[in-house]
Amino acid sequence: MVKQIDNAFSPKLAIVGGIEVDINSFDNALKNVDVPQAKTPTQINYIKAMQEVNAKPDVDVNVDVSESVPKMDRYGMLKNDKTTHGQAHHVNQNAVYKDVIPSDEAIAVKLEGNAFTQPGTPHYETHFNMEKFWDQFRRGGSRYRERPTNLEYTNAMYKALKESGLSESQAKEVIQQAIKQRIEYGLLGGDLVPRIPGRINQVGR
Amino acid sequence: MDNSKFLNRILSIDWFNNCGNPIKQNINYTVIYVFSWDEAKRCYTDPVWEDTTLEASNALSEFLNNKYKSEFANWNKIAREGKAFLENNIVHKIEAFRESNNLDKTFTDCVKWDLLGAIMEASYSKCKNRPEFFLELLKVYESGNFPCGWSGKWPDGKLIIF
Repeated sequence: MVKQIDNAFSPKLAIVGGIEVDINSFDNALKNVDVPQAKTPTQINYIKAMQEVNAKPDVDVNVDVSESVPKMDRYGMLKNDKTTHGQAHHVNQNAVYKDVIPSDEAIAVKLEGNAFTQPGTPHYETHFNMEKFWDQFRRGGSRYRERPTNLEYTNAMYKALKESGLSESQAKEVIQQAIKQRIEYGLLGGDLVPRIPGRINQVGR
Repeated sequence: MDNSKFLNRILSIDWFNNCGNPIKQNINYTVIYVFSWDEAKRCYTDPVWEDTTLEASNALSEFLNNKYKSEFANWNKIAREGKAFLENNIVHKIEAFRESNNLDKTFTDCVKWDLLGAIMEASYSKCKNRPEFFLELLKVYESGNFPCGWSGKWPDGKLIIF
């Protein structure tokens, strides 16, 4: 039985087989992940649960990916890529997940512009929007000292990517790859993020 | 957990009555002193101090995420209960002190951040070898002083105290 418990974003939280999962994400997120690849009991349970979700005909897991997405790869590869413009952007932010996902292994997307110095560019604007999200959890913020869940992080990054200029389908594709990687590292939607990043002090817009 | 004994430590603090003098108990950091609220303000508004205390907070959450995953799941519940305790019992005292000394809102935010950090570290006392940065800061508050800054790149460096 699938019981939806959160509809903040299209990857909804649900309880499947007794554990929380993100539904709707995840044809693509899971197509290359199977139980034998899973490393921990949590991963194994999660992947089994997701397979159960994907088998449900009444759960919409289809995603429109008709537009091409910006170039994506492991950060270690993408940061040296000269074939496309822009900077490599950790979709699973390094300052948040670096203790779990090695920086060079983390999934990244090429975004135009400098994150610190070029207002109006997708890279700057993505970070600008994420900074607003993180400010809640920093000193003086409305949720100071709390930690968002990975699902909240997903929602924030998805929104930030869209507001930086990516289309909805492009942002979804990018986010799906990020979720897929987090699942591989045992970071589930209902878990709390391990770290809050420090301020990056961008130049003013 | 029942942490009323620990919370009583916070309730019994005589706030900032020893600022300008050396702290009265030993702590696990090398310290340097400033001797006025103007100097203290320059320190606590410095981004280095915010970064340092954020990293110290991250050290605990990373530690728990790696070694005590199920306990880490209670993080937000503990944080919210700690905040409610501070709002109901402590913040009005800090605000009164702030107003009488012409300090800014950041001052209150710093004290709340530090005290909640100590509450959280105390709440995870059963997690062996957890970081204890904010429990050390609590000793400074208990001494009637104010931990206001950091010189160096945490965890190396020196704690600045007024």
